[in-house]
Amino acid sequence: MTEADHIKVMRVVTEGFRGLVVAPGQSLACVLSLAVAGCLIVLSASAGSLTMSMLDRASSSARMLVYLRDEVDSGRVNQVVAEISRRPDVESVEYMSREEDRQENADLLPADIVNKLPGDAIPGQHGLRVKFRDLGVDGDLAGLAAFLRTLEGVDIVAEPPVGSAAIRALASAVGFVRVTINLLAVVLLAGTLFFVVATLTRTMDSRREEMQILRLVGATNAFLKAPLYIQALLQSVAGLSLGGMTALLIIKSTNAYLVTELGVGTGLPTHVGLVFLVAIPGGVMVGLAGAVIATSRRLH
Amino acid sequence: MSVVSVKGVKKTYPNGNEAVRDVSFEVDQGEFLFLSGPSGSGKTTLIRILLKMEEATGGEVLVFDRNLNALRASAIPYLRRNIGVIFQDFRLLQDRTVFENLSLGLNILGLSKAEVGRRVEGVLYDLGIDRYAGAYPAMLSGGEQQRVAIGRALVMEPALILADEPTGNLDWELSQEIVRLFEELNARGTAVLMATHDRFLLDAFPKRTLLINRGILVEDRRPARRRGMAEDTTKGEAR
Repeated sequence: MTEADHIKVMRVVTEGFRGLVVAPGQSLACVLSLAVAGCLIVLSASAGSLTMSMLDRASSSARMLVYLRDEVDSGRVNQVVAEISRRPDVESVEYMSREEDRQENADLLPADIVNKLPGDAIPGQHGLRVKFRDLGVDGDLAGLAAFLRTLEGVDIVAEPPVGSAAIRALASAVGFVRVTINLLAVVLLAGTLFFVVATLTRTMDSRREEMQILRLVGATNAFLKAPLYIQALLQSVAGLSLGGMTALLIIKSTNAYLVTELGVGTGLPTHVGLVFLVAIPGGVMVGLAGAVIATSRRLH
Repeated sequence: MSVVSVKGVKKTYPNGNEAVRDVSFEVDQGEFLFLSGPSGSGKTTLIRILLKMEEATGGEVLVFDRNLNALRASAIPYLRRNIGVIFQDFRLLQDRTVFENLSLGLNILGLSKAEVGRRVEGVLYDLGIDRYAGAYPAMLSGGEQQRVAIGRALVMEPALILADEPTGNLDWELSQEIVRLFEELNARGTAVLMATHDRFLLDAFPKRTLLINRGILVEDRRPARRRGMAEDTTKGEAR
């Protein structure tokens, strides 16, 4: 870069900063609305990430119990295990003895009641614990249960204790919430784009005379546009960075409350990388788009 | 060698108004000439055409041998860097100091701070307004503001100055001062085309004068070369 280029760049940056104070109220409104959008995007991603991990956990702990008839022998048990294991939606199949089943049932009852009951009062039946891979939207629990019921020697198929319908409802609710939040973020970003364009237009109006004079003394279009691009980038990056950092603070405070006050083991995940992505590349994209729209209408 | 060559130029606005009709003239290097005529005669339109602020709807315009009709939009700024332009209403930025107003064009060239300072201070000194470098235009008189506007043009060291009624807002004394200033610049080799409708100025400073009326160049009057000689006047056919 030559000295002349360096001087031009410095001049452009200085003028870009000057543009921010031409309409300070509008610049501030623009930065704040971008901050709100940035904050919502990060919070949405964090909430989405948490729900997905909760779903994953629910998926890994959920299971179906396949009770076998008393007369089913070990040879048949092995065959049934092999048949179930071949299914792609099944992660593992584990044999459960009558004693283990009885113990599990006992665990569901209050200890003082269990202690008063005779040993054979709590039922127990041998069977299989079937863990499946995906409990998300694509999981077909009803199909799996129907398949298990067709197997020879199967007595009862007990679906997950939380209920597949509840899990499905949760998954679709989470999906709806994520889509809604993402749509809201897109709408907000589009709105903030409007703010960026409006702020730049105001700047151009305020500096119209200056631009006319600069044109007369030989300023190129690029020379006139560059400070506006810098102004748009500064506003957008500052706004989205502020939003991202605010979101991190909200997540941190929420997690502190959840863990210390409510004793919840899992908090909202903190995605510092996402904050960076939203603030820098996101800010650059919004700023550039706003600058292109604003300047193409006035400076050509 | 001519810095401006205008051949059969026309300018008709979309509403049918013919601002300039078949005007032809040339401005030689280092020449000083007035463009005169009543208000609305087409003087400003001609100057705007020479600056490529407006497109001629007919004819040919050459500035520094470059055909403006064929000039690409991206080349216009580079053309304008060689033309100093001065207006009746000064067109100074009120929120910038005199020094900053003069620096505007130099910043475009990417000159160093030291070079900008050297050139601006030199021009301010030549124009006798160096003590106002840090002042804002509103703090100056009309004549001083016009000097600043002239300084803004001069600092670019242009080969041609186009002045559109630069004395229109000034009193007689200041008007003469400004024209003398242009004469000084002209003596250094800068061509000057000054639009004015002030007959007293034309009389006080006998120079080649293009008289335009209703968009038509009606007279190209050249001053007598020696005292006592009749004026060399071309009427009607001055195209």
